[in-house]
Amino acid sequence: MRIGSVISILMKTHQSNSPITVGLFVTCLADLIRPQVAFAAVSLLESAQCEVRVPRGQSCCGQPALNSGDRANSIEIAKQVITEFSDVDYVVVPSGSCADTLKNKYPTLFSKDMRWARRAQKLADKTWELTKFLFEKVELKGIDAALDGVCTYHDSCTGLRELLIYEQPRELLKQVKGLRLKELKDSNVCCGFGGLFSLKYSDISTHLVSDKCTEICNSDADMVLGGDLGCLLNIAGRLRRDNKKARVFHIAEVLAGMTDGPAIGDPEESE
Amino acid sequence: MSEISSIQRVEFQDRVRTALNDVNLQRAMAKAKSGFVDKRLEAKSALPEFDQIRDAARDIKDHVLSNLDTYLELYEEKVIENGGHVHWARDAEEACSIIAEICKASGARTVTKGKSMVSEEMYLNPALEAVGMEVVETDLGEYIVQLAGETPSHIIAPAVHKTREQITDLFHEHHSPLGYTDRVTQREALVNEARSVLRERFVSADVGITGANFLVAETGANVIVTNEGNGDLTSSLPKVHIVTAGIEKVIPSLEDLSVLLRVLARSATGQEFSAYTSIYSGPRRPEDGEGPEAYHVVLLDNGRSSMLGGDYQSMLRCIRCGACLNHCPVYGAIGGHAYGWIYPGPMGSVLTPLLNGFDSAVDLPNACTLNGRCKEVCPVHIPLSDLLLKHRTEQHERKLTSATSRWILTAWTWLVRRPRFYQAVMAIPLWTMNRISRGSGRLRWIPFGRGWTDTRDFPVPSRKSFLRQWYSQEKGHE
Amino acid sequence: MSEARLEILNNIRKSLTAGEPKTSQRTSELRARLKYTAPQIQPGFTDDNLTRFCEKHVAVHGTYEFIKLVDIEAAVLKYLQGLDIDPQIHLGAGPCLDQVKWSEGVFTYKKSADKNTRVAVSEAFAAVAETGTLVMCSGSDLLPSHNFLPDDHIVIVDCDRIVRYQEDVWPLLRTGDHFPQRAINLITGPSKTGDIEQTIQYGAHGPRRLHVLIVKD
Repeated sequence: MRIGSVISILMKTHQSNSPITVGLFVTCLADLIRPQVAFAAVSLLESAQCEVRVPRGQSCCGQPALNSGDRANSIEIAKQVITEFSDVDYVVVPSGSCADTLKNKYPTLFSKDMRWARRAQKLADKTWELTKFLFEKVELKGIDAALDGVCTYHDSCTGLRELLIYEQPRELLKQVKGLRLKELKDSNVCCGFGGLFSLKYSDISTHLVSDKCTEICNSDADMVLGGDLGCLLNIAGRLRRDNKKARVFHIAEVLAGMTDGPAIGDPEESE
Repeated sequence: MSEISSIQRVEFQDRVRTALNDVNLQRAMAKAKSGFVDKRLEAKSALPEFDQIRDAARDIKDHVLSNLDTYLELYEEKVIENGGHVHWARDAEEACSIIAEICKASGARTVTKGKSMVSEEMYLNPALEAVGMEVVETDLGEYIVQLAGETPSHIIAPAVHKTREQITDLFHEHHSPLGYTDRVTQREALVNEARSVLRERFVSADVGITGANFLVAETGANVIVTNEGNGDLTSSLPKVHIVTAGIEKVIPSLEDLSVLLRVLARSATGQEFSAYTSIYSGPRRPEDGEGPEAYHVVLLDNGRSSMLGGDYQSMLRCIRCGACLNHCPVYGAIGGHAYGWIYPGPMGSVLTPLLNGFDSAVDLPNACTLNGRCKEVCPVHIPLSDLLLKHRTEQHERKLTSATSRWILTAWTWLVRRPRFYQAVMAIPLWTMNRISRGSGRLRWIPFGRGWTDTRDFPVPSRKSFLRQWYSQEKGHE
Repeated sequence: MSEARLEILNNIRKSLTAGEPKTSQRTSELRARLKYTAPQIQPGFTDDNLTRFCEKHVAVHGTYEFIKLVDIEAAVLKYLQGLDIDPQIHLGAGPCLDQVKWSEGVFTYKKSADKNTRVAVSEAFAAVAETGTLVMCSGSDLLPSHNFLPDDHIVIVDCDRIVRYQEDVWPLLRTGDHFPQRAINLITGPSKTGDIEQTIQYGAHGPRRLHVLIVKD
């Protein structure tokens, strides 16, 4: 034990001289629907001198099972994520709700299994939502992005209430040249996504996203930004159906200067 | 079991659809929407100690709950000392028959009621009417709802779902026979007309029934908080006063009351303090010139004692302020009646399955986006959204959810736990969706996703997933 | 009845087995907690009691004026004249109010208010600066119907009886006579309702107006 702890101290000293390693938890929505969000996250983390790793054995954080009350399957998925991300210094997630799953939900799954409970806690302790990590942990300065236009921001519920993400994205956006942020009325009210909720209770979900889109239109912003792709797909889907003008981007895309291509739900350039 | 839940699902979804298409309801809810939220925020912001007081309020309730048997005994002792009677009811039926007996024994014909959610829980009005009593609700909102033949749609604003035009119609219909033949439409005139009609009722009632916001063990008192004063007229004028309360309502002392009062009105209506906070202990004393000759308290269990010591104990802290309803986007969209029972919104979705049985309301814990706003505003820190999630777990374990959905979750878990296979499989829908969308960036229909695409486009996925792009670009990561 | 009582209490005990054990020592500890209570967290404010009381009372739509003890009758009559109401009042009692010798033209009633009562004049047991609240107790000549039935409620408050916090009232009540009184009514502004379109209307069931005469000699 003694020797072990000496070695771990030595390793920590060694680590402090090398760049910190960040495991990117891509999230299934970014992976499948909007890869640019993940590329943007990589670019931002690298500009903050992090060594980014993308473990291949990842897919989904398990929210669909967890939020359906399916603990057994949630545990299986959690074990896989814990294992895949065991050897990085930090885990960074470009989504408040997925980050919350790793950080606050996994540790509650292993009340009867101390070994896994410890491992889950270790993962929890090193997991960060992207904007929180960039602003608080690595204090990213000198973002080299420009965007001429008025943006508004939707605060996704889980990030806002469980991880207290509010000023971090706003502070980071201040560094984007030309961007003017106009606050959205009721920016802290749910957009009606809620994962499977949007399919199971689509009438209610539609009502909520309509309210959200009305406020977005009232704000007269050119763009609406957010930190959770689920909400953004919901909002973009509704705006596109109603042929509203506001374009939708994930905040990582804006911070990384990747807004030249089509916004979420917009036609491809060649069209 | 799954048959039951599928019937309920249809019922719930039907109620939701009806509510969303109800023009009057939507108009009334839109009007109420930001008022409560803004006023609460204003009141909270004006009190720097708000969060500390909230913590203290939670601690008081927790302390009581973990000593509930003793506090109930101490409370009972004091009520008896004051000359009152305490009755214990295991369930709604027992409570109703106790109250009906008291009314009958006192020779009563008419009963006035102050707003009491626990009396709604026990279906008291029909039970009293069945034994020949005339029951009159006196809280203005509750009175409106009674005239309409409905139940409250909000625990502190019972008629929040009614527009002024609807109230005008109701008053005109019901007050015309009493001589109020003019059709009044203005708020002030409507309030005055109700005041005048209900005054007659107050002074002629034989029995007054109120709820209790709190029961104080120190003095054996019930506390009622109102703005109208109807609860006080109900408590003071008739010759019998009956208090109905859940067993969780007891608190230790008047000092504890002060803490709870500081969060109650602020959370409920955004007031610092309600107009009337009244503390009633027993029947009239020898020195009193007026007041009821008899004072009865009916303590209702109805499933509460079984909630103690378990995962849902924190729900018994609830002080029925309604903040979780006011801040719930789902409640704001569908109103209270769609929930199907008397407790709506987040607190109702937690409580209804606990009081009425887990299989009685399978939809309620699921019809929530887990946005957590209810938990954020609760004055006694009930983790409402976590409790809703707990319900979902319980439903899953009791197999109250459909077999298909459980099978899909297992199949999907199997797939996501095999990431390489998952990537290969997911490439098929990605390719297909891209083909169909023809570069438009959106899909107007996706299989099994009509709930989404009926009202929203679905943004088209990438041609190639991030992980596939990453690993084809950077072989070194392999 | 006793069967239900036993069953409920037993069920509570069964559910709480993991909680604090029920012993006679615990019971006496809880009894002691009821006896020796102390204020918990209270909101801080810098205004003096009188200023704060007046400010909060006005904020809830109350009106007030400062008077001398000898001017109670004159103030009441002036107020009634302003509203064009005959000087017929339901009268409460209290150290200040009891000293008033009402003139012959003023009809005072020492009886319960009824549905037609226009005016009651009462004296508050105490008042709370924190929230602008009047504390009214029932008792001999102190009739709660006066607080809730008249259109106009005039309340005398002795300046020295304005305490800072609600918690300062409880010891005054405990050490007084007849505690706990049948009715302790904390009144903060006139009666109101928001039940029609969530918009405040005054005079729901109780007084439409609440006028406070603060006695300051």
